[in-house]
Order: sequence, then structure tokens, then C-alpha cells
Amino acid sequence: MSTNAIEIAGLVKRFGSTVALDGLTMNVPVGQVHGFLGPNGAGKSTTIRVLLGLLRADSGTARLLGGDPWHDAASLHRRLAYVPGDVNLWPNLTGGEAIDVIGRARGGLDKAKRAMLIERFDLDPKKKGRAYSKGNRQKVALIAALASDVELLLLDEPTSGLDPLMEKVFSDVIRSERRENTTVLLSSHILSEVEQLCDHVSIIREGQIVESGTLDQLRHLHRTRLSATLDDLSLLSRLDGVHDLVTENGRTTFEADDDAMPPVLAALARAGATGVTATPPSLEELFLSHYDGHRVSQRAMA
Amino acid sequence: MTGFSAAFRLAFRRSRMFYLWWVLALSVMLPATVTKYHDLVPPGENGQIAIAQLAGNPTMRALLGPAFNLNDAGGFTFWRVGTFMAAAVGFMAVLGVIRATRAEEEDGRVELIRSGAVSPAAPLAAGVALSLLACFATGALSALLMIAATPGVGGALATGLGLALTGTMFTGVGAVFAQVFPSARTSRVFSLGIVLAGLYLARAIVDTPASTPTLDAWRWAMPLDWAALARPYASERWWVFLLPLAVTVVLVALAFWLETRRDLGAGLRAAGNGADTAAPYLRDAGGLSWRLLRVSIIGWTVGIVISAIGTGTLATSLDTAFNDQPQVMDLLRKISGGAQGIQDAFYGAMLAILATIVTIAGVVLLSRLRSEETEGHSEVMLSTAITRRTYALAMLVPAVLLPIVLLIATGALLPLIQATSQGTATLVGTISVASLALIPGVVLVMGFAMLVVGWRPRWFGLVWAVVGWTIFTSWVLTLWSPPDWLLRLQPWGWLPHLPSEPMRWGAFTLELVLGAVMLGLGLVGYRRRDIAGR
Repeated sequence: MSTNAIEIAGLVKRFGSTVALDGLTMNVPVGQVHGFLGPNGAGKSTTIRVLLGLLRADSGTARLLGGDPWHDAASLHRRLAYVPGDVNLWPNLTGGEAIDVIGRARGGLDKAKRAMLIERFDLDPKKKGRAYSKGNRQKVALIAALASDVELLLLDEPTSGLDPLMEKVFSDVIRSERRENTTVLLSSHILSEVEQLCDHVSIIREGQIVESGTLDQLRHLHRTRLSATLDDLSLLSRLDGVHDLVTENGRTTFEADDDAMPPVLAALARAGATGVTATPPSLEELFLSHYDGHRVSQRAMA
Repeated sequence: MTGFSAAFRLAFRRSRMFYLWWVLALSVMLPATVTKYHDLVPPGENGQIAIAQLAGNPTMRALLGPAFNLNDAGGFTFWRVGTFMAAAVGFMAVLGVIRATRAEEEDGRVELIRSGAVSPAAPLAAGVALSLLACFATGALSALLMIAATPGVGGALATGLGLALTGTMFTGVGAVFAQVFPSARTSRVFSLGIVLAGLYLARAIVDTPASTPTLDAWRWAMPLDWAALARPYASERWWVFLLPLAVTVVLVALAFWLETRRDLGAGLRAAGNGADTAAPYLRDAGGLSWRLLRVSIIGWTVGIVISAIGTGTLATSLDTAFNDQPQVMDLLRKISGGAQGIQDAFYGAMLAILATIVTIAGVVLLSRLRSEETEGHSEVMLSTAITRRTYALAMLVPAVLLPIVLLIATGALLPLIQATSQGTATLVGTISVASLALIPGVVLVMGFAMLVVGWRPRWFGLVWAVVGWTIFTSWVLTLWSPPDWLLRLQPWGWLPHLPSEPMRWGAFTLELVLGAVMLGLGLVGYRRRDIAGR
């Protein structure tokens, strides 16, 4: 048994002339809750669909729970559950029926867990599929996925359409899954959710992983934003790794590279700085630096 | 109406290719037939006698409706294909109006339009207007081509109006059912399967026996006969067109009224609640597919049983004297694939037509395998422990079995009335065996359909093209005295038509094997290709 639930190496998937995945490489160890971030159209859903054996990769390898996602699809699917990004229910089946159909097709679901989830997500399972709102359709798919005891959850933007109360229920359920050592691949746009739930984050852009690591590791790759009140700027401005130094109304703000922090702090102390604040980059900032194609390409040109 | 023009332009943009092909295909049929008149009816008295006998034949009246003036190329043409083409315009009108209204609403796109500064009825008005326009375009184009093809401007105009106004009635039918049911599929089933097919069958039953005053009165109750009753090319009765016009106005008005009485996305009845847990049978691919297909399976079965028995009643009015009329027999023989006696010819022709219709049932069922994919359900189910093979088979098996069972049932039910009156079951046996010999045609079409779904699901239209071509060959092409090979170039063309032909095991086996191979290849393709999500 491999220690990685998901192993992807050099994965390429083309649709006609469009390259959806361009040599994607990514690993998710067993028991990890892995955040999968990226702008729309970056290849998140395509990656998940390759992992489900719905799409056949053009080149590269993907391993899932120690098996081949294409050849061993049906047997692997007993051990995982999937929530699609755009949930569409059968219009004439009730939510309860849809949950059972999907759960039983996977090999059965835990009735007590099903009842508990319906209760917690506050779903009326007697309504017909066409009568549900987007959020309620999402709940049906979530309950169908979470009511089974599986080793791996593949969740493609699972909370889209959920209200904040339901988002919280979702977070609680995922936390308890993590305690049971379930592996989760969570594709999302909601950064606070990823920050709260995920041990590890991968950022995908144009079909490639551009950054991967724990949130702490990622933060270390980026600059910390500092501000302080001080008179003598000369010490600071001489240091390497200090950027965008600006003084306004007697308050100085700048950014510092992570490895420049010790000399920066020493220089602040010597200059007698007061009111020092240091803000590590938020996930949002990490994220935007990759999302914003314009900024990235400018940096690449510079 | 606020926003009508925006809604109309959107509907036009989304349906222009759909209507273009339909209008062109429907408009050329009559003019193409008229050019063949003189080949078919030799000049002189003999030709006229022959054609009169043809029109007096009950089977022909059942298929084609009443004839008024067969001495004229235009009048003959309208009888030969007019009523059928008018019904086909209705078919187009229903599909068109539902795709622009209920189907768009079901997919959530009407919501986008209605949230703009548009009147609530604008999307319905746009769909109806476009469908009406297409009906009149078909009528106008047909009339123009008929004017060019044969003398008689009045007859050409009446022909065009007959096609157009028969179509617009069904614009109304489609628009009404699109308000009643929340699903486009159900709206289509009711408009086409029940109303259009039912009216065609009712018309056939009324038109079959020789004319009596009572029956002539009943004929006025048959909307699909109105175009013929306006007598194109036979001293036109223009006032008859007021009937379909009135029906159109009433139905369209009803649709708009119903539209105000319901919520967006809903039908007339509020969606009821159902079970909070799934029934025990809903545990695998087979259970799900029964749940999804059962209404279609039951509906088609009931429809075919009624049609087969109903068509069988026509047999009792067959006149064996027609055996002596070469012209009649020639035509019937072509439709039936070579039958000799009047009775064999009748059963052969009806069996051939119903074989095509039951195959439509199979194609409809299999099209669900494709639509489940585009609606995103296959993605979910194939992410469970169900293998692709099992999943595809769960739809494919009923899609192949249903038409085969219905074909055999048709063979047993068609002669039932006559056999009962004769007090012998021999005929039931004979025609049932004849239906068995046609099974490979069903398998061939279903094999082709699976091949398309397995490898190139976007090309599913090709399957409908095969079905359309088959209907065209038996309804229209038979008239043009085409080379025999062309007439046989359809799924049932090469099969032995019992009992008038001897059993040919070679053709039977070859087609069966070819169909089975395509079924297998289609399954292979389905297991190898990418499954699309939503």
C-alpha cells in the first residue's frame, strides 16, 4: 500500500487543440486534507475527472489508492466518493432517492450517517430533483458522498451555493473525516475554507502546479508586510531583501523577504522603531499572485 | 411586448439551423413528387383508370387520406404526399416551439432572459412566433416551388396554406403542453406521441372505408384531413382554412393564458413530494435505468398495441378485387417490399411502417444514455462502483429488447381482428413469423445508434437521419419508381418480407451479425472514450 492516496506525474490532457493539463505533478499522502486552488479553467475539474477514470490522460501517470484510475475505475470507486462541481439531479427523483441511488451504487451507505447528515444539512429528502435550489442540490450530492465510509473524498467546489451556516456544517463534517484519517482533495475558491480545513495546498495554473506545500511553507516563499514608526530609515534601506519602502504620515511600511527577517528585525530595534506590526501574506495574497495572469506575466518580463 | 425582439433574436440564433434543415426538407418533397407524375401516370384513359383505382384502395386511403382530383399532377401530388407532409410540418412545429420554450426553461436559460427588462411572456411569444414563421415559410416555399413545377396557382397556394396551417395548429399544441409539463421530454411525448400520432391514426381509421355520408361528416372532425378537405387543385374551398386558423388562435391564446398561471420552471401542477428513501430495486444501474425509462417503455408499449390493433381493423375493409389492379399492386408491393396478394401487401406494408416506428422507441431509449451524460448524471454514476459496461448495458438492453418485443407483438396484433372474425389463428402465426424476419433491421439500427453513442455521441443526429431516410423511402420514394437497389437501401430493404417472399437466411443472418458487431463495437467505444461532464 502506497503512502500516497494520489500520485500524479507529468499528466497531460488535451481537448482538441486546448491543453487542459500540461505536465501536472502532484501527490496527496494518505490522511491529508489537500486544498486544490486555481482560477477558473486552470484544470482542477479535469484533474479530478482523470482521477475518476472519466477522462483518459494523453500522457503522464496517475495513481489513486494504489491503483490505476482508468483500468481499476469501478473497484477504486468503492473506496472513494465524489462531489461534482455542477450538481444536476434527476428531475423526477427525490433527493432521498438520489442519495440512495448514488450511495448504493458505490457499494452501500451508512444509514445512521445518512440520517445524521440530512438532519445537520437541514435537507428535505422528499422533494423532487427539479424543485431543489442550487444549494439544496449541492447538499444532496454532499450527503450522498459523505454518508459512505470511504478512504478518499474528491470534492470539486463542494460548498458552492451553500449558505454560511451550511458551509460551517460542511467544515465540521470534513474535520471529523480528517480525524478518521480520510484523505480529502478539496478544490475550492473559498480561501477561508481552505485555510481552515487544509493541511496542504496546491495551486494550479494553466494545467500545471505552480506551488505546493503547507500554508506555512508557502508563506515562507513570500514577503511579509511590516509597518513601524521610526526616524532613521538608512539602516533599513541598506538591507537586501527589503522592498517597497514608503513613509507616509510618519509611518513606514515595507515588505521583507522571509530570509531577510533577522537583519530587518535587528535594524528596526537599533533604529528604535515603535508600533511595529508584521503581517504574513494571507492565502489570498499568495493566491492572487498566481491568479492574476497579468501581474505574473509582467513579473516574468521584468 | 417588452423584450420580444431580444427574445426572438435569441430564439432565432439558437434554432436557425434546426429550422433551416426542416423547412428545406419539408418544402422540396411536394415539388419533387409532382415532377414524377407523368412517369407514374401514363397519358390516356388507362393511366386515369389505374390512378382512380389506386385512390380507391383502402390501404392507400389509410396511409394518405382522401383524394379529390387525381387527373391533375398537383391534385395527385397533394393526395400522395400532402397530408403526410402537413403532419410532418406539425412535427417540426412541436419540436421547434418546445426547444425554444420549455427546454430552455428547464435548462435555466429562460430565467436569464426573464430577469432582464422583458415581459414574462416574451420567451413564449418568441418561441411561438418563430415556430409559426417556420410553418409559413415551409408553406410559402412549397407553394412557390409548386407554382414553378405545375400549372395552377390557386392549387399551389392552397397546398402551401394547408401545410402551414396544419403546422401552426401544432405550434399551439406544443406551446400548450410546454406550459402544462415541467419537462420538455414529457411535453414532446404528449404533443407528438399522443396528439399528433393519435390524430394521424384516427384520420387513417376514418379515411379507410369507402365514403359514406356519416364518415364524410366524421372526416371534418379530423384536423389532419383539413388540408386535404380544402381541396388543393380540385376547386379549392378556401373557407376550410378558417378551421385550422381558429384552432391555432385558440391554442396559442390558451398557451399564453396558462403561462400566466404558473411559476417559472414549474408546470401547471405544483411538484408533489415523493419518497424520502429509494425503493429497494433502485440499487444498481439496472434499477436506475428502469426508473428513468419506465414511463417511456410503458407509453410506447401502450401506443404500439393500440396502433397495431387499430391498424388491424383496417384489414377488414380490404377488397380482394384489388388483386387484379396492377397499378395498385405495384405501389403496395414496393412499400411492403414485394408482397403479391392484397392481404399480404397490406400486412407487409403496415408491418414495414410499424417496424420503423418501434425502432424509434429503441432509439429514444438509447438516446437517454447520451442525454444522461450531457446532463451530468453519467459522471456521477460512473464515479461509483458501476463499470461503464454495466452502465451502458443497463440502457442498451431495454433499448434493443423493447423494439424487438414490440415488433413481434405488432406481428401478432395486426391480424388479430381479422383472425377473430375468420375464426382461425393461422394468420396470426403467419404475420408473427413475418415480423420475426424483420428483427435484424431493428438490431442494425440499434447497433448503429450504439456505435455512435460509443464513439461520437455528438453525431447522434445521424441515427435520426437513418430513421428519417427509412420513413422517406417507404412513404415517398416508392412513388418515384427509383431503381430497386435504392428502394432497398434501408435497414429493412434487404430482409425477406414473409410470407410473399421466401425466407432468405443469408440476408437475415448477415444483417443480424452486422448489427450485433456494431453493438459490440459501440460498447467498446463507450468504455474507451472520455465521459463528458456538465
